[in-house]
Amino acid sequence: MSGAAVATAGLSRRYGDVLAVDGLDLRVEHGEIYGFLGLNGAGKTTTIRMLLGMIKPTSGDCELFGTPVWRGGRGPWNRVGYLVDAPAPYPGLTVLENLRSAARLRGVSDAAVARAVERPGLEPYAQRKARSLSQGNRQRLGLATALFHQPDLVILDEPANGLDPAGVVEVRELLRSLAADHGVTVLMSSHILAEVDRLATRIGIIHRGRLIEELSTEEMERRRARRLIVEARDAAGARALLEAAGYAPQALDGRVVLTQPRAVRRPDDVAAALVSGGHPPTRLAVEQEDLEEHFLRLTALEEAS
Amino acid sequence: MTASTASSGFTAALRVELLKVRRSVAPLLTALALAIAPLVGGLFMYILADPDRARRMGIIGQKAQIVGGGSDWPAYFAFLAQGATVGGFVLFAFVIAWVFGREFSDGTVRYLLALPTSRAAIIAAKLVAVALWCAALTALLTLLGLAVGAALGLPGWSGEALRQGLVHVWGGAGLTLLIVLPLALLAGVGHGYLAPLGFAMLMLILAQVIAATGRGAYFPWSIPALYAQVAGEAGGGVTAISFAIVAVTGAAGAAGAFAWWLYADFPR
Repeated sequence: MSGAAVATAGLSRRYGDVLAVDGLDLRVEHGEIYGFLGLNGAGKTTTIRMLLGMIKPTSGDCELFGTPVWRGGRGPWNRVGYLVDAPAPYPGLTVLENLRSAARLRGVSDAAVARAVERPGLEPYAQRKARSLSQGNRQRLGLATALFHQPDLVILDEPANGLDPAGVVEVRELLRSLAADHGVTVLMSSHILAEVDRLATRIGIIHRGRLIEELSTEEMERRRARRLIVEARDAAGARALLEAAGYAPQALDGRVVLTQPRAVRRPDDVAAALVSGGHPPTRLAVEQEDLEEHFLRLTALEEAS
Repeated sequence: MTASTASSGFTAALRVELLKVRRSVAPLLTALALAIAPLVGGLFMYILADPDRARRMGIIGQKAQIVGGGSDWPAYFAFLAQGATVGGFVLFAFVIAWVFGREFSDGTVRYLLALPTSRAAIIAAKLVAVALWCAALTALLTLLGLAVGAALGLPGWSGEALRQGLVHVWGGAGLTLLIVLPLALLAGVGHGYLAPLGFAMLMLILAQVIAATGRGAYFPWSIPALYAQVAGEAGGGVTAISFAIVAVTGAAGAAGAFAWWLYADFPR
C-alpha cells in the first residue's frame, strides 16, 4: 500500500447490522485533489475518521504516507491537517487563542499563526471570541486550523459548508494553489457536487459505504452525456424544420433538444439550417449532463442493482 | 517518542488546558461556591460563641449546634474540612466533568485526536489541570477560613491546632480529588457532562447511606467525609485500608480515562 499519500485496503466499519463502510480501497497520490463524493450517510465521514485514527476499522488497513494509522500514536500527524464535520472552535477562546492553542499542540511557532489569520481573511476577527463568530467565519477558522502548519496532506470534510459564494471561491482557489504550487495533497468530501467538480483532479463516488465509481476529471467529462439546446421564436416550426433536415429533435419546456452526435459536434450546421429555413435561433447551446445528474443516475443504478 | 518530546507535548497540552480554564467563568463560579463554606462556618462560630444568641437564631442556631459544637479554631477547622470533602466533592466533580466533558459537549474533542501531541499527554495535562484547579480552590478555602477565623477572634489558636487543621483540610481535599478521578472516564464514556455529574450525585447519596450503616470506611466515596469526621462515630473509623481503597479508586479512574481515550472510538 505504501507510497501514496492516502491508501486504504479493504477498509470496513460495521455498526451493529449497518455496514457504514464496505471494503474501501482508496488511493490518493501526492499532489492530487481527491473529491470524495456521496450522499449524506454514504460513509464519507466514517471513512475520514478512520483515516484520522478517530474510529477503529472493523477490518482492513489504512496508511498515510506509508505509515499505518494507529490511534493514540504520534503517527504522521505533523504532516496532516484536517477539518472533520462542522468546525467547533473553543467558544471561550478568541480566534487567535484557538490557533495558538492548536499551534502549541503541533509544536509550531506563533509566526505560522500570524500567517494563518491573514490568509483566509480572519484578521478583523482575530481578537473575537469564537462563540460570537458567524458560521462562515467559524468555517474559515476551521480551515485555518487545518492549514496553518503547512501540512503535506489536508483532509477536509465538507470544506465549503457555511461559506458564502465569495468564500467558496476563495477556498477553492486556496486549495487549488496549495496543490499546484506547494504539492499539497487534498482529500475533500462533499455532497455539493459542483464544488467537487470544479476543483478535484479525481473523484470517488461512495454510496452505501462502497466506492462505486472512481474517475479522473477527464474521464468524467467524457462520460457525461452532451446535448444541443435550440431556442427559437417559433419552437414548433424550428422543430419541424430540423426534423425535415434529418435530425431527431425533441421538445422540452418550449425548447428543442438534439442529442445526436452530429448535432452536438456541429451546432453551426444546425444554425445554418435554421437560418436558411426562416427560423433563426435565438439561443443555441451545447449543454453537458452535470455531475449532479451523473451522480443521481449512478446511485439510482446502484439502488436498482 | 523520546522523553523530551513527550514532556514538551505534555507542557504544551498543559498550557492549552490552563488557557481554556482561565478563559472560562467556571473557575469564578467554583470559587464563589466554595467561598460559602468558610463564610457559613464563620457565621456558625459567631452564633455558637454566644448560646443565647444561638437559641434566638432558631433553625440556624440548632444546625450550628449539631455541626459545630464549639466555637474555637479546632471546631472551625473541622467545619472547613467538611467544606473540603462534602462541598469539595460536588465542586471537584464539576471541575473534572467540565475539563473532560466540555470537549464532547462543545464538539472540540476532534481537535485533540490526530496531533503530534499524544492523547496520553493531553489526558495527563487535563488531570494536572484538574488537580491545580482543585488545589487553588482548597487554597482559597484555607486562606478565606484563616481570614474569617482571625476576624472573629476565635479562641484556641495554636501551632498544633493550625497543623492539624491544615492536615485535615488538605488531606480531605486530596482524598476527594482521588475519588472524583473516575469521572474523567465517565465523561468520555458518556460523551459529556451529564454522566459524570449524575454519577457524582448518586455517589453523594450512597456515601451518606453507607456511612450511616457503619461501613463507610470501606466505601471510597464515604471515606473523605469520614476522614474529615463529618459522619462522626456512626460512620466508623478511617483506617489504612480506607486510604488504600481511595488510592485504588483514583488510580483506576485515571487509568480508565487513559485507556478509554487511547482505545475508544470517536464517531462524533
